[in-house]
Amino acid sequence: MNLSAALAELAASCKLAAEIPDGLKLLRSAANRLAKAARKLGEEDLAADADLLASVDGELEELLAKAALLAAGERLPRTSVTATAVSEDDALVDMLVVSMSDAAGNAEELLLALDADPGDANNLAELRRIVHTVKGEAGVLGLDATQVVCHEAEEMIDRAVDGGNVRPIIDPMLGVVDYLRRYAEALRAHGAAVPPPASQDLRDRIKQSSRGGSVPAAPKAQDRGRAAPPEPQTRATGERRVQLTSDALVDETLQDFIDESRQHLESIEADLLEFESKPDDEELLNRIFRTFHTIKGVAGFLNLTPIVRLTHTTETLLDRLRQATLTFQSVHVDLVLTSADLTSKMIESLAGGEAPFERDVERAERRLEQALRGERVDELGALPTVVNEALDKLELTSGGDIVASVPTPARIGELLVRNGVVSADRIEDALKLQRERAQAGQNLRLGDLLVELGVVSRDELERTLGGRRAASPVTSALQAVVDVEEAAEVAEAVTKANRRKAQVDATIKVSTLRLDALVDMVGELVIAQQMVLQDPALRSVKSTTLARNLSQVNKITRDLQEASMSLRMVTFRSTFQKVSRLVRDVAQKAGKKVELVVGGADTEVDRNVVERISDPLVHLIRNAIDHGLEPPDRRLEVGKPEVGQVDLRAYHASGAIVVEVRDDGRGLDRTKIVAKALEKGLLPTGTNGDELTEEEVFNLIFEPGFSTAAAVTDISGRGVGMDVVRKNIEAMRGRIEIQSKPGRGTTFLLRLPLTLAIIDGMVVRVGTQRFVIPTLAIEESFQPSARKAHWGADGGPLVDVRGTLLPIRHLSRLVDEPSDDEMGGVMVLMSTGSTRFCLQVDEIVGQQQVVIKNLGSNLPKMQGVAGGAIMGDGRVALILDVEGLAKGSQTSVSY
Amino acid sequence: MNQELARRGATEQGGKYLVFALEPNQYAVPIQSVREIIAMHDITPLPRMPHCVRGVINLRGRIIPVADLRRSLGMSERDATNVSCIIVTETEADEDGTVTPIGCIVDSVCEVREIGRDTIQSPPQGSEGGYVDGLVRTDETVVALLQLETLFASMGIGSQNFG
Repeated sequence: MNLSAALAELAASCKLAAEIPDGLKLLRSAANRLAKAARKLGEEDLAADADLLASVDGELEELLAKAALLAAGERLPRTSVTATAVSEDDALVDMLVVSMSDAAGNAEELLLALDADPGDANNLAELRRIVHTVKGEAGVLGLDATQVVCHEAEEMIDRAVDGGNVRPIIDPMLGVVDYLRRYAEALRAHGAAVPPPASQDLRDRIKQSSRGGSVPAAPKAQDRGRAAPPEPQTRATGERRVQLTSDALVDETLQDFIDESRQHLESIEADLLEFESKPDDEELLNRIFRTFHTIKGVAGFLNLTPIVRLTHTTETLLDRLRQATLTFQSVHVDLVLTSADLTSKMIESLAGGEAPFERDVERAERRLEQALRGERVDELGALPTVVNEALDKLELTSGGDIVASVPTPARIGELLVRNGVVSADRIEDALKLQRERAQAGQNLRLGDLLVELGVVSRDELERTLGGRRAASPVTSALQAVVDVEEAAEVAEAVTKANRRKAQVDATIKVSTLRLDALVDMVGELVIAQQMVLQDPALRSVKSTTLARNLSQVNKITRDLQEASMSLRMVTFRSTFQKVSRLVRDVAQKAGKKVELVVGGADTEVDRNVVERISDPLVHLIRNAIDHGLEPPDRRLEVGKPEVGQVDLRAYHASGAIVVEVRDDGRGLDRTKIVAKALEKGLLPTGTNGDELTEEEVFNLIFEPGFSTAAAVTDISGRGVGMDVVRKNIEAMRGRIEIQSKPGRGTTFLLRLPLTLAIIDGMVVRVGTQRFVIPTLAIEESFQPSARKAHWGADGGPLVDVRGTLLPIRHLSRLVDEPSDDEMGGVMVLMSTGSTRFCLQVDEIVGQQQVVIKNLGSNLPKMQGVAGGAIMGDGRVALILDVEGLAKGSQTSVSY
Repeated sequence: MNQELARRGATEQGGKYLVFALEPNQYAVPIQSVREIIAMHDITPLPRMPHCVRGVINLRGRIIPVADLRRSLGMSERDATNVSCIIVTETEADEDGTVTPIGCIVDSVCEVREIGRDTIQSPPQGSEGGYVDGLVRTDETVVALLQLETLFASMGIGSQNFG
């Protein structure tokens, strides 16, 4: 069965479907599958096509069989669509779980964005689409409770759109997000039989959000006085149409506007079509541009915002074409034609006609914007929506006569022009002729007339009319599917979109234990391979083939290592999103206004790091909001903006990952901290802390026992405590630093290794021992004699590096290993975040990547040593921690 | 936990011990705490560690610390010979259940010996800082039974230091 035939059958079934219980459900499911089939056709996945169509076949047959029974006056057997749907398809459940989780995640993002900018209509529309889709999918599986929740959520969103008041729905919608997440999790763990989470509470919250909101839009006239919808599955709210302000209607200039615009728009269709074949015709383009420009101007004057918006976007597109900053594509003509059409409708509505649907206008604008951005214009993205919309309309009118209750189908003339079969001029002429003939008493259909005139062949006419024949909304919508299927360009867009989607979808779950084991093994492989390469026995073999093969092994091993490490790389995105949600909740509870600014969410880092930083980060953010930021009125008092700002940023810096948490709140009060520390016995009594540096004072808050209740208002822990935060960070071989200015705010800097496993290092030698220095801590190296040495005020040696005097440290002294010659060797210029100095070593041996191994938790912590590395010859080399070295050496400078 | 019981049990009830020499004396530890015996390795020294921590070695891909028992017992230094070896011991597990082995350099390994409880005598008061569990008389000499954890703690290593 080919697609077109299937659609025709489906169209016929629409009429019958209304009379069959659950018929609409079946129909919806069939339509969903058809939509899928169309998509797959776009992907040229023909095998899948056959299966899907076969299943659609089956469903249609069932429908027809039932219809036959009905027609024969028989009673229909009671089948519970719900039961079969749920039990037969574990695969469907799995898909639903993924879909619900994704939907929840996306919805949450949108809600947070809406919180920041409630006026964003695109986000709101997208949110509604997401909820609508989940509702549909839940319906396929017969998950009634979820359908109800989604339906009511949808209504809530509609009400918000109508009343223009978005804020009150955000909390209940977040509740829906949580519901979906929870349910998806339950489904995943226990399968389709699991009962959904309790939703009565949630539904009450949703209902309450409307109190104080505006009255829901009246149902559409097409209802034709049907009884009230029986169940929640039927939509109660109507499709919204564009509203144009009423004050415009009493303006005297209005009639002039309508007349003039009519004139302008009359010629525009013809102009556009001519332009399509002559895109270089500047005069033509200008004329079209001027049309929109003029309409926009007067519409603006009359405050007809929807018209202004649409014409403005269209005008921008045309302007860019004019200026040649945008390359012309034929799809642009479609876009402008649609704009013209919609604008015309809107203007007609001022004269008493029916306004176009808002959704159509939105879609047009969206596609215009896509074109402006240079992106592929969304053709097929509208597809499932189109199908769903059509089915919605069906449900609404299921009591009445479906075929008759249809919005006016495209005029044949328009269709012909749009398809490029006939030019607009010819249509004009034909229409004129038709009118004349009508006056003469001969009523001809335009199509027939055109054939008679020889303008178009009967075949062409039939083809164009094809979709119009069975004029139900479903068919016309699904006809769009067929049209689209045949457009190669659009199919390509589908492929791309699906490929993008596929990239996101085509993941595979792997146990993290296995992943870690794999990465470790690869690390060992690298070392073992190095050991083989450095084996003296191997070195003595003189064979070019061997050398080449070994080099090949080396390369492959390195590639393998990179690949395996990248497996563990993730971004901070999900952590930051969690923080976004947290900020909102905490701020609300604390009664503070907070704006979260996030940067570097795409920074890549090892999965382990992300996992282990999550809790400390949450704690720091909580602190920042609870204690760092002042309450809104206090902020105003001290001249700060009412809304406090929390900055969360992640970035790479000298071989490490830095995560910054900054607030613009109170800052740390040194005296208070010292007082607290004295009180808690963390400082010897009698001291006043004056001799402590700022850094040392701030670091007191990390001492266990410091965290307490409210007495210290600038920083306080919570039992979980800042000491645990620091411990966690340091367990990752990271570091946490504090910067703060009283009254201005506090910044926490978390420095973490890129990966917990491997570093790129420079191997240096002192005496008989080798050490590894992280490459990124090294700026350069030079011979000591090349630079002049000086003596600093404290007696320590300094070296002049391009004008800056830097202290010299002898590695030999730091590690208690006798040097070959302290005056010779090599100087390595080290730099970290806070210090720079020169390290004197005997020799630079080489550069390599090493796996960092812990030295054993039963040893005292060593300052200056970050771990150990197993070198190619099997011996251990210590990995130096530059900052620790620098600090340690400061106390023993007197050497 | 089982190790702990086993060790206690060994001392109280006797059991198998590994006897080794730190010339001119002989010492023994319960066999359950011995993971393996390996030849002398190149030891990488650790800066600013207690004197009796010689450094670290690579034990099949894992880095473990090595203690110099002579130093920890206050004995004179002695060069390694071709019979010197490292006894890899396993003491108590950390909080998270991992056991970190500690290597101990000895002059030579003598034997594995069954030592009956009744043959164990308490050490004289105040001797050797509490890391001698008892003394056993053999044909040739007196063997001191070492309590490793206490010994390590006195060196500054051991899981009780750092969780």
